[in-house]
Amino acid sequence: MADGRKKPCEGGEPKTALTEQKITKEAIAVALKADVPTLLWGNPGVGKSRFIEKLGRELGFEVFTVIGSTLDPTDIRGLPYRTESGTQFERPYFLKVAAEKPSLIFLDELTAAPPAIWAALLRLILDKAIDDFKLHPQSRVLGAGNPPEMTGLGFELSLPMANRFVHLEFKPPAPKALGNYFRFGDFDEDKQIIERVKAIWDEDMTLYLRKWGSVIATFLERVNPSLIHQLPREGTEFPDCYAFPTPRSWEFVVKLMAAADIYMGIPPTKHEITELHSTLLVGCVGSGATTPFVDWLDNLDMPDPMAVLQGKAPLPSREDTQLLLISNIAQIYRDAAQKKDTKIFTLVTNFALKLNELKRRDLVLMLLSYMHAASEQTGTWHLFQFALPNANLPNFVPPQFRQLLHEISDTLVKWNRQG
Amino acid sequence: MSGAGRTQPRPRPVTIPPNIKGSEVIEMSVARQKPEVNVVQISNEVLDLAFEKALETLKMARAWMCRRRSPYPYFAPLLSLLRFVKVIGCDTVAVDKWARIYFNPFFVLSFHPKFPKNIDENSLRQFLTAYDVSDYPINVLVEILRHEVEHLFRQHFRRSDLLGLQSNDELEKWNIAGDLEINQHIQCPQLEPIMFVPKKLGLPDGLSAEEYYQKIPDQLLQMLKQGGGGTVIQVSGHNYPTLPQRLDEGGSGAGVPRDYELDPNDPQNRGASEAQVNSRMEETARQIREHAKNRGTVPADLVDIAEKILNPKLNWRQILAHLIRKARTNAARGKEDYTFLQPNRRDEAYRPFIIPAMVQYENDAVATILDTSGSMSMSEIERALAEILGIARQGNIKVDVYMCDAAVHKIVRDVKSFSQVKEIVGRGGTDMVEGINRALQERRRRRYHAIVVLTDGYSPFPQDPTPIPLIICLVGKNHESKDKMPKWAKVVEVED
Repeated sequence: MADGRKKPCEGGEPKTALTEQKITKEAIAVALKADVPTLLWGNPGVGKSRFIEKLGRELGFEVFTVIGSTLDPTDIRGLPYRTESGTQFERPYFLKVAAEKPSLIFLDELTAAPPAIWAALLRLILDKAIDDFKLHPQSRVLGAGNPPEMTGLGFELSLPMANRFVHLEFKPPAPKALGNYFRFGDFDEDKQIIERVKAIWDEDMTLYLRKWGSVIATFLERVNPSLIHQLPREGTEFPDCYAFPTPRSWEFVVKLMAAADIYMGIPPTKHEITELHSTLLVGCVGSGATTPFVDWLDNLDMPDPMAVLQGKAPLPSREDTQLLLISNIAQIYRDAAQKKDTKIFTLVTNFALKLNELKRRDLVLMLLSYMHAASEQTGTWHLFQFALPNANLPNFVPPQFRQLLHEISDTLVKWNRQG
Repeated sequence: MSGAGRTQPRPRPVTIPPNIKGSEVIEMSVARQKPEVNVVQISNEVLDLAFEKALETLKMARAWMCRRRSPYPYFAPLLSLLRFVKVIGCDTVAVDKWARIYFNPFFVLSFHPKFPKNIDENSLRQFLTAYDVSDYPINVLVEILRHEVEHLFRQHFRRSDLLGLQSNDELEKWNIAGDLEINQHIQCPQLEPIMFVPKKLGLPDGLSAEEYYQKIPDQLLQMLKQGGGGTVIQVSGHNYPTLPQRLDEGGSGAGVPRDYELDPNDPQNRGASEAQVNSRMEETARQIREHAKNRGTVPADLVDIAEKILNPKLNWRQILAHLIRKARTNAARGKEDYTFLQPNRRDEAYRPFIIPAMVQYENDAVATILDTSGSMSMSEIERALAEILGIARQGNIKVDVYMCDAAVHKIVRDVKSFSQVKEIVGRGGTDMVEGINRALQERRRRRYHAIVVLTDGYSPFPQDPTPIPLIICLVGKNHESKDKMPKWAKVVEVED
């Protein structure tokens, strides 16, 4: 019991304890690990640069913050000068350092930069190179911008440009988190996130990449090929106006999901979509593609009900899958009742007994309720007859089933009476 | 505020006397004031037992509701996603954005007919050891769970964000508003005394939470702050009221976050992801649509919400803003360019080379063509024009208005407010081509990057694409179909 409890907060007054900024920060850390170009969207002053600079330094990067709106194309490409062998470029200092050792180049206020600058930055962001000048392979480039409706200038990101990023929204911190920041000089969550990402920084992603590669291949190939490529509709809301599915963004998804698994400590054998996964997915392919994908993944865990009945597959671990499984078993049972297939009856009752052993009274109740309904519909196997003390049990009814019926029938009858 | 909120005056809690200590000792302190509050100390052991029984009952109720025969089978997709979490500090029931339910076990159990009238350690222990779930009035929990799930399905958490509610009072008010929206459909005598329904506040049924929010009297909040009465069970210094003032206390799922809520990625009780909640919401919406078609017993506003989830309608204001900004960005791309007419800002360093400088033109403008033919209604024009002016102001863009029916009658430059174009000239036949051509002639001088036409659509349009984007805003209830507009133009339907 003690583990499920939380320390009570003083006062008990409601406060906005939203943790959205924390998830965004985690998503940034994961995207850095996955080496996927990231664009942060947030209003001025919410703490984007502060977090990035801190995260970068803690991870051992040289951090350079470059303000997009004050840039000239030559600031990126460098100053040309003439030599015996032709024109060469004197690269800006930060790029020279970034070529030598792992650096984090943070391009702030990207949306305020004139589009001519974007063109120069495009290759830097995507390929980590300018002309033939390459950055250190471990260097990272990260951008941040203000949403168009917030900036007076109001430039919009073009679709080809938008598709080269995972888009994350950086919301203002929760009042409580900010309060602690002013009191203690730091956000509680920052330390946690940085420690976590440091611990997994060198972990190998191969197994995870293979898992998500095959998951997404199956999804796009067999389930929903229309989601391979879909342009956003005009005027959809952030992030769907920038995040849309293309082969490139699905490739980003593979990398991001792999890194998110490692970050969350999810083994490569499991498919789990946590809030972190979901944030990254939506930022990559948009919510229009995320919903069907998550839906399909959810059902992927659903075992064959027949296999569960025969004991060949275990009871799924997630409660929603369990409830759906009971409905599917109920369907099998009803068909069997119509055909008077006693083998299925024995299998299902044994399964009910097993659920009872596992102390899953909710699932037992649901299953017996379905069995009862089936007997009313088909006229076979009246459950309550088996419960009568002097009734002769047919040989296909396990003797312990009578005991179970005794335990649950009261609830079934009384609750049914209430509608 | 007559008879608002309560059927009878509620007792107020008193501060717990500091001399009451020791968890095994049964202490009952009866407050002097009327109405009364009892504080009863019980042991952790009984609390754990209560959590166990309440959790089992909640799970059984959930499974009961997920059956195809249950009264609200369409909520099964969301219900199955729920996760029940034990925390300290929840007075009744709450739901968070990640579909986790927080609950006070004594509140859940207090509806059981055998729940002791005189609460103390012994009577509670007796009740819990002899607990028979079959006697539990299941319809109470069904309605409570339905209430929590409806908070999610009605997206109260997103809607409170949209209203920008932040202070505690605002959020508390929003919680009541959300409850009013839900509770008008709930019929449950046991919950009646603790349920906010519009009738009790003297408000009409059928309003949205946003409308109720405006109408909730502030005194109600004051009353809530006084707290509930009855017996308050105290375990290790934490209070668990058994007679609270209301059905639920929101939670971030209702747009009213609470302190006791867990991190979405809490290792023991990980919440569902937003994507999962969204996908279940869509599934629920589909089932509601089916259910309404076949049996027709779904509240009408739920059907409306379902339709909105299944066919999200984009906001025309957003589309229009997007189109104008995009046109400007594309136009600016050509203009944000290099020129030799001005020296580069690093001219000194480059000498003797002459390097072009970047120039940025600032006189961006939009030509807005008003269809002033007889069929147009002014109020609709005003709304669309107001939107354009708003976008223009944000983006530092100038707006010229062309009044045009079958010919251009008047051009108003640098329109800042609607009053400048109140006097409409025209009211004849309709030919928008005239206006568009005229704007195109002026294009170079005025640096238009887009032409916006406000019309009902019953007009000829140019055959060939214009050199700058043409945005057609279809205004009015009976406007021409979107499909009849030129394929190359961007069309926005101005509604509501």
